[in-house]
Amino acid sequence: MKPAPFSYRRATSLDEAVAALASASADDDVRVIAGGQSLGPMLNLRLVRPTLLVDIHRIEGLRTIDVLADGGVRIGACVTHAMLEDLPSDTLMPPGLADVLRHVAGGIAYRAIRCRGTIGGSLAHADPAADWPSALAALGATIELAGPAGRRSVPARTFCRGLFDTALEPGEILAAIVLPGSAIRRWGHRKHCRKVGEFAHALALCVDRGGEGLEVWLGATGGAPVAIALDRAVNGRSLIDVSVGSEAQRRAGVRGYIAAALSDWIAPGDAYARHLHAQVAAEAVTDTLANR
Amino acid sequence: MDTADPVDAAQAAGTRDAHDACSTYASVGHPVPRTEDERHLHGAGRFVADIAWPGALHLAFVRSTVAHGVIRSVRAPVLAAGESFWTAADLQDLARPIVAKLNRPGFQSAPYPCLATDRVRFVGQTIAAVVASSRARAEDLAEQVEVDIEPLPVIATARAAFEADAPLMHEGWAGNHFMKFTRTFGDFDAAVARAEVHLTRHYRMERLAPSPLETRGCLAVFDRAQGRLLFHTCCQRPHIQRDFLAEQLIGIDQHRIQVVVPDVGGAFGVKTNLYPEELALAAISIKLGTAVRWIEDRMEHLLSACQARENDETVTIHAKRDGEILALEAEYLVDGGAYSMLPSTSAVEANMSANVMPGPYRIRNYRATAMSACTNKAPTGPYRGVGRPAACFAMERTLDELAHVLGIEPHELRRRNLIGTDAFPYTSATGLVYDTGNYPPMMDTAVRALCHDDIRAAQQAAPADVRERIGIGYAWYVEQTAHTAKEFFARGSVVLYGFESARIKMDISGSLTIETSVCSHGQGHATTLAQIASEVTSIPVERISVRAGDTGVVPYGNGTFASRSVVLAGGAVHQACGRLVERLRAIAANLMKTAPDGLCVDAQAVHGPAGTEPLPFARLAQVALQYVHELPDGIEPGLEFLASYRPPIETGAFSAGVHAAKVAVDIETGAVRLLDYLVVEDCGQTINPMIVDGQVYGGVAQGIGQALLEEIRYDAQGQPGTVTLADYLLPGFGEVPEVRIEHQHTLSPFTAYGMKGTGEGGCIGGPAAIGNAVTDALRGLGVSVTRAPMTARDVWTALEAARARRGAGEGAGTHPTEPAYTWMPPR
Repeated sequence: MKPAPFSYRRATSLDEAVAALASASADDDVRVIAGGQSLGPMLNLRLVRPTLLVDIHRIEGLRTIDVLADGGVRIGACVTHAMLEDLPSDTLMPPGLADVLRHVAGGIAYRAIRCRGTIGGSLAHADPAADWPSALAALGATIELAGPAGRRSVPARTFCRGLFDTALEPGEILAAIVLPGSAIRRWGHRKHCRKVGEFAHALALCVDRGGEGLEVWLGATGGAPVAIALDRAVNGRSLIDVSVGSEAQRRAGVRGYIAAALSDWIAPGDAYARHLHAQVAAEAVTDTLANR
Repeated sequence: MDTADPVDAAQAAGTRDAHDACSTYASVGHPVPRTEDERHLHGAGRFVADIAWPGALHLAFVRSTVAHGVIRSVRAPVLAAGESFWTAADLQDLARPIVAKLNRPGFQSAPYPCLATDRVRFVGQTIAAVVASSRARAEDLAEQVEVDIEPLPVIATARAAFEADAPLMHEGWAGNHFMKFTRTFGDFDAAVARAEVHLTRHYRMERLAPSPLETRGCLAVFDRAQGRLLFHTCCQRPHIQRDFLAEQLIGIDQHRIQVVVPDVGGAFGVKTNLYPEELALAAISIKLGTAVRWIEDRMEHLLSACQARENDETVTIHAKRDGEILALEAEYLVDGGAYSMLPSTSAVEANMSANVMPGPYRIRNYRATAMSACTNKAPTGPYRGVGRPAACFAMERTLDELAHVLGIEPHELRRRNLIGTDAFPYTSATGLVYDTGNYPPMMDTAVRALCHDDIRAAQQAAPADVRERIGIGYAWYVEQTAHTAKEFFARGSVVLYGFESARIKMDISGSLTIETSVCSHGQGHATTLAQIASEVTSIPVERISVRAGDTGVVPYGNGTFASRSVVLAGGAVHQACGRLVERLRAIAANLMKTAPDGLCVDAQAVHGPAGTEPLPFARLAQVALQYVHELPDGIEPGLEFLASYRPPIETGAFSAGVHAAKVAVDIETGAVRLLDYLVVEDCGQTINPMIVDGQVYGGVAQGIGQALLEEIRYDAQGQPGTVTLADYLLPGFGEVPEVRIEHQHTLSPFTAYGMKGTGEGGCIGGPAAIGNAVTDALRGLGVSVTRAPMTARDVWTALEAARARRGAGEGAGTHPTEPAYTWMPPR
């Protein structure tokens, strides 16, 4: 379990990192490494065999969390899960946002992994079972990418395209995540793991900012994160219609509503896995609705 | 304190129910902090991989990616200077293939080569080896090796091994089994005829990987000048390992082999075997005349280290309506993998299950079938508990089924069948001799401490549509510990583990060194054995050091396994220290001009009659080691004493335990959550109750792992699906609740202080207790547990099937012995 040979460059600035990617030859298979919590094991198992690793984790400019003039929040790609888990209580972030970030970050793997693993690395790696791809989509984030042609932004909801597949073009580096400045009125986040710290088998985040278009985002689907809209009728019944009765009945109602809307490509033929996605999403939604 | 053996006095008092805090001894029975912990907490432990050896080369293996096939060709990589490549042909004059045997009728053995010769029989089998200057470089070379294998049909399950068209796994065998037998004890048929209830159930315990924190690994150093092999390894039995190496290696006599075992990070039985990798490393080191290192990685461990369990069980209980068991029938079918491990063989699991099944119950009529199949999977062998977790799972799950059918509380049904306290020594149906036991009070303690009646009331009061249903379950086991040569002979073992040794050395300052033949892999021997020495000599634990794990230093013995070290090595320390004290008293008597009889030993001195000055040990050691002209006639100089302890009975000291679990089952996800876990254990006199608790905690964690998470999976082509710890789930702090332990002390009449072993008990009861608790939670929904691990998926799927049956209008079964439960089918 030792990686195949590779070259290694440590960048001290984002520009230097972008230049390092640009200077690679056509034969090179270049990978960017930050915390290395996913890439490290894959290198050791020789599942990936890059010829060049560009290490960005020492770039100070990527390790900051800034509240922007419009109230939004910009999180550098190399901010660790632990930094988000430990967000101070007097943060100037918009109401509710820090709570969601702390909650999602604190549920990732183990503290040792959270101390090294980064939000940008997790997103760029795009493991469907990871927490950030669906969570950042649900939070309405925008992803900033830096490349040889300059900077561009991509909405988080379209950034992850599938299994280990993102909108990153060759030569581009994920630089930051920008979260909108509007207050989060209520939210619910749930995940199902067989043991603490394991990759999730189902996970969901529902964020209600009080506006139109309430949706719940599902992760761990095996592909890209999936949104299920909650403001339309499914089989002739709205979310309000199905959320009646006892707590168990409300959950069952929402579960049925979500199950009916669940894409066919998610765990086809696996009744338990499909049930679990609907169950966990229903819990996230009922949690959200219960938080008045 | 007088050195007259205090054992008798304590044993005369019989069972001491008081908690260990009330030890009647000065050192024995006290929770002395472990002397090992300081170095481990400072990261200063030294394991095989920590041993720096300048110039040592690194070895990596090329392993089969095919489960079954004929090797057509192996093409070497392009090597640089100083690198080497090895196949079976290169080793044939250096090492003999490993052949594990059992002296039992019908046992079939086959050679397990260091490197595959013509055929591979499981994914992960060693085919070739590469030696280079670093592990990374060796792995680069290993992946360049081209192996052409012509596939053969694959046997991926135990049942498939017995199908008519199954390929024969080993040449000359009469069928694909290591061993199979049926034995009947007592008047079985008559007892069955008398029974009023007959209940049959099927279970499956999945294949496990023992998974010590430290994987296998060794550093072989051949010293050409001396012609000696220095073999650093992490094993449980240094001398046995040396015996095996000498037997297998060609052209090196045993006196030229030294096995050194530094700190070991867990073993659990997996490090009792001699592995092809270890033998190949030793042979290559000798051939190259240099130091070579192999440190196993986790993937190799999950592919090729000893695996365990994979036990399919069919149980029938024949009972009276009042719950008295009249006869018991059990069939164990174990998937033993492709080869037998040396020395325990792949038959160890099924044979042990069959042998111990009656457990703490008064069952005289018993029929057992044990079958160990040979398949295209990694070899299996001993893992903590060996056969007992599966036997316990089958027995205890079926008892709960019987209790349900008869309408009796499960603990009450057990009480009606437990061996009575006045029945000891008790010989079980299969011939095991239980020295002492006091079981009924343990059941009472478990029921009380778990708050059984309160939980039953809460279950009654819970609303019908509650999401998390509560359940409770119990499981019993007895644990044979410290059994020796005759017992192993009766099992057909080729190696007979008859004794353990200790050499005690007092130095001129009066401090002690113990050299012991047992070999700690986390058990805290350095503390426990020092406590026994302290008890006998009055020397404080901090003035006693314990050395182990070096055949060049410690006396011959068999090592640490089968819950034996405290009784056997402790017995040796007890004897050797007794001799030391005897000599110190003789020397003191001469100096005091008195008879030794009236002298007593206390506070590191020998005390004479009132009014005389006590003589400190340091003064007496000075006489024994330096001022020998002051020695009395007939007393040899020196203060070294070797004792090899063979216990007065060879059938072992029997510990026992009850595990009680309280679970919550989420009926919407199938997830099982442990709310409470209680262990009532009895291992006689504890030497260090904190270490006993540690053994229980660790064992319970492993039991919880096999109950809820752990499962080695293979597909139909024999491809393993669990080769990293992301797939093979081990329990962590989140899955293991705070375990509560209640102690009882029923002394053994045969051992020093009345102690009994306790190494394995903790891991035996988990699957059964948790399985019973999950079943108890889901009784009203028509689901019962038949498989370990009981995953959320299994539980939810069974709940769905039961729901569908209810929807289809199928009610509960009408026959009292066959309730309409949904079985979770073995996957």
